[in-house]
Amino acid sequence: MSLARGTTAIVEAPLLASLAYLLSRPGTLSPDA
Amino acid sequence: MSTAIGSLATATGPHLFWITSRAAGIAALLLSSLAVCMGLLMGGRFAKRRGPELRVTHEALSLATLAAIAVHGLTLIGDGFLHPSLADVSIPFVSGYETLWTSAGIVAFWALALLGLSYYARTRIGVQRWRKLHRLTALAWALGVAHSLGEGTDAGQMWFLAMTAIAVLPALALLAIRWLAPALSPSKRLEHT
Repeated sequence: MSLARGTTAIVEAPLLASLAYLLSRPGTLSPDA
Repeated sequence: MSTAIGSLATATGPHLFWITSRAAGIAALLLSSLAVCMGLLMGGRFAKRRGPELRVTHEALSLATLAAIAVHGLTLIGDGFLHPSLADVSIPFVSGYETLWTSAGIVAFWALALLGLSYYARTRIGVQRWRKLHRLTALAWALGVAHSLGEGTDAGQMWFLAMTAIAVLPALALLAIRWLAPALSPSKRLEHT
């Protein structure tokens, strides 16, 4: 695996996991909440 | 991919950029802490057997950290509530929103970028001089952690504090070992006698 592809995969995993977790917490999705 | 983005936009309503920025900030916190751990392990006994693997992992994690921070800052520009400009998210003390903590995050990013990307110019800089400079990365990382705890939307949440502790404490422990080990090693003690 090239460095660029590895780096992309490493960014994607925690980013998507964090997104999924934040989306599962309704009520904190808005900056004015 | 477009279906996934469409579903995400529907789920987040008008706050797609805001929530993406938060997720990218969390990702950056985790990735930078791991990168610091890997970097510190490279200087220890563990590196003798796993040196090349650690170096590549450290490099990939460091580049991934910079990418995640870039997403964190740039997606915020699209937020309809804060409406920050590019200058607000890239130049310290320009934003009027939580100016001190925002500036801490911006300074941390530029410091991490300069100290990290200077790796590719280390022969020009001088390897020994570059290594000394690179040690400052730990300070830039700590500034980033302070930014996330001081300003992060989720900083008051127990899950966020627990996650930060799990990510940050191992790096702090390795930093403490790095600082204290030379003072405690028998060879150093002999040097001082």
